[in-house]
Amino acid sequence: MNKKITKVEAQRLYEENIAYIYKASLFLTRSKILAEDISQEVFVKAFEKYGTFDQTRSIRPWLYQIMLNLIRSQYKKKKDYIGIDDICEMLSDDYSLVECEVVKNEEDKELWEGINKLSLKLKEVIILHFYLDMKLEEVAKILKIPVGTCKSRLNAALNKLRNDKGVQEITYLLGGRSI
Amino acid sequence: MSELNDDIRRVIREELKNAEIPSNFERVWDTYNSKQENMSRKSNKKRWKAILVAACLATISVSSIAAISFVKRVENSKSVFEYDSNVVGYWEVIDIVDDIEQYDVHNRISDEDEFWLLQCIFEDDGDVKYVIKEGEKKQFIQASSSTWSKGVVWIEEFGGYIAQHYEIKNIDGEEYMFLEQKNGDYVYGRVDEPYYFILKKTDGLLEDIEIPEMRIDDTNIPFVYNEEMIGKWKAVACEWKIEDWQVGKVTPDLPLQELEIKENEMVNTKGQGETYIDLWRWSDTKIINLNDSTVMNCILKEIDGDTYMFMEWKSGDYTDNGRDPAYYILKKEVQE
Repeated sequence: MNKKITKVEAQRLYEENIAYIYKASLFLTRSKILAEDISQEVFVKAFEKYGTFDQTRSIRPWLYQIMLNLIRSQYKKKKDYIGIDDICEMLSDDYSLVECEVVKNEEDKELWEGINKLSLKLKEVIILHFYLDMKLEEVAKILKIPVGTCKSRLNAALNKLRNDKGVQEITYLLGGRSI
Repeated sequence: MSELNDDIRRVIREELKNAEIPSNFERVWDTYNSKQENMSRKSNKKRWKAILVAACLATISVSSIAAISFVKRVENSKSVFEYDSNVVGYWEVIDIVDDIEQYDVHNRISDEDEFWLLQCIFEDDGDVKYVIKEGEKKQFIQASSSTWSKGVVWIEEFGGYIAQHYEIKNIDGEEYMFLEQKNGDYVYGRVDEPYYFILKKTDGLLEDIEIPEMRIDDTNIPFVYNEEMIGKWKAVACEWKIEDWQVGKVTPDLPLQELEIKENEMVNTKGQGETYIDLWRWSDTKIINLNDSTVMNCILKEIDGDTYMFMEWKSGDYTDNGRDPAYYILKKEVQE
């Protein structure tokens, strides 16, 4: 029979990881309300499945996997029809990061806007690699894709951001060459 | 390159640095406990329901049973996930058979040339991935519609879930899997029994697998109004090539049922039974999926007095698996 998690274990798991899970969820969903819901659900699922988790492995990648699955379900979720004006209002009320309050200069602001315009698949790679400091091999494992696909997505994201900035140079991530 | 990487890292960290973290462990713990209690109550209910259903089925007449056999063979929902440590890992296809009762793993029946499926990867959280044959190449597929639970692989297709049961046997010290295959012929009652893949457990992915580059399109397209696009469009069929379709040919159980293209560049999409909105927009004869960064080109045609739209369909097969788009065929609803 699988081991059930104790409250003490659950609380430690929660407090050690909530910050990363919440902030990554916030980045990917662009909604404080959704990020909070998803973060909670990540830990409820983690508590449920704790007994099946291999304790010799690092727990954080496993939590990220649960988080990404929940976010992807959220994107596919069926919603009632809402108009484009309603969407803009919801986003501006709920997500202060759209206002880009913290970012100091125009270039950073453009970069932030460019990052937010990336598709979910590209943002997943960006947040895991650049914010959560995972190596691409670890990112590939979490996303359950081959390392080559992971590198391809990162390359696509960087090229898109670079093109948005108007820079002509293209660097191939895999070979590390510049042309 | 490293300058952009550093900028990305810095900008994201700056933005997220001051985000207020919710601290509601007690609420999370209470939710977890409530779910545990509900699950325990539900499994008791299910046991009684199963007994009742079995009793009712015992009284059904022969003609009723005959009628039931023509109903589409899919389930409305999947079973609750149950872990199976024996199935997790890599399984290579070694044979295809119709009958597993007399099968001998040492005397193979099929040639490798007959296999479209080369390998199954069972992930430890219930996902299933595949390696398939595409022409001469081996291609890795993220089969997002496939998941497993102990004893079964669930495929989301044909408007429901197909249960493909598996059994693992140890034969002469090696692990073999017998995996049902239920295609459209089985689902729609054209054949009575599934066929089977025979798989052998291996250590890792097959060699020389092609990993396609991710494909995304430039979605930065200014809005161009095109009156001919405006209106409701009902999905009729889906084909890999436009020339494979003719008027009257219908594809059942399409995931996308209807499009509503509106004046203000919005697109509403309707799946099976419900209305939902993805981040889709349109411009001229293009439909733009902002979620997946794809642009689907549309061709409008008048055929026998009706207006049809042939819309490129760029799913995960296009973005992740390197395939060319398929085509949705949609018919315009006549406004009264």
